[in-house]
Amino acid sequence: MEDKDSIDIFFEEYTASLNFLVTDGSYEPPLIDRQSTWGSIIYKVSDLDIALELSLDARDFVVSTYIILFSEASKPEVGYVSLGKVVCLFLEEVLERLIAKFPSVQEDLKQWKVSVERHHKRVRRSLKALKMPDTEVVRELFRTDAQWVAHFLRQYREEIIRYARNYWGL
Amino acid sequence: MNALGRLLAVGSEWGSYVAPIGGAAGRGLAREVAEEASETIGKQLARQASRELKPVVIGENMKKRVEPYARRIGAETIDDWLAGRKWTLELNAVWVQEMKRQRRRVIDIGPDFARRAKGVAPSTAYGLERRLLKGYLNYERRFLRWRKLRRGNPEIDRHEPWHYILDEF
Repeated sequence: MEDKDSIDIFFEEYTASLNFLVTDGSYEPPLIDRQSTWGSIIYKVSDLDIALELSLDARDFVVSTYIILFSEASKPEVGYVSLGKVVCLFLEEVLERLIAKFPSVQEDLKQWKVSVERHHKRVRRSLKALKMPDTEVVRELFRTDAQWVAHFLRQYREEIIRYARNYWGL
Repeated sequence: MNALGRLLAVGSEWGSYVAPIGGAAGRGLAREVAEEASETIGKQLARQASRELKPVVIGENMKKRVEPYARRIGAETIDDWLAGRKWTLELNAVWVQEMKRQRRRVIDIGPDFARRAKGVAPSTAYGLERRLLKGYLNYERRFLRWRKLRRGNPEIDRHEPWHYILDEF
């Protein structure tokens, strides 16, 4: 059994899968932040006020992937909304907007959900029994999700950024 | 002056008011009255002290909802209490009991409906908190629910404004 908590595993798995964003120079090195109940990794797009944020709710082992307006959404008192403006979009809702142009996204989104849910069910079963899930189960969950996020970014990175730029008028 | 300090000061003040009754019986009576008064006032001060403690916020999604909302209203979260300790379900339950013991105001901003709409299951930890807080007098609900996956807290959640006309806090 590993002596690591879920936040450590989250950092390891997502940075390993998404390291290519930094090595090709289009994103800045990740900003990593943590508290007892959450961890987050932010990859800011170079020279643009847009970033990819992976946020772990460590109490539920749920990772949400967002496209954020960096200057607003990275403030600690800001969540989804700042001054009435949405500053945090779910990656999947951005991908859903791309289906018209790339029909294969629909099937990929479905597969993403199915494969993550399969692992997450095992985690929830432990939590419902008031037990912490095994670290290997957690690692598998995060690895699967991180690989899907990496897949979408490899395939549709430019379209995702274009959508976000239009959305925030950048 | 802290709560204990105030309690001692008020107790001795009551003692001096009743002292002029005179004699040993008077002094005994004075002590009794002072003790009774101290006890009553002590309870009031304890209640007042608990009101002076910051309220705590609960809800789903610590990073995007609970913490930003707590910061905005000057409240605390379980992270403040954990102070860097590793979170566990057991500690979560202990935290709720401790907040109840301190008679803290608990502000519930509810489920993360945006996340649930994406297929994420309800939070076990938040569900546990809700169960432990059932019937707690200082519990304050600050979210709306309209159908299964709709609404939230208008200050923190994504929403269409007209939906909030349907209900009130």
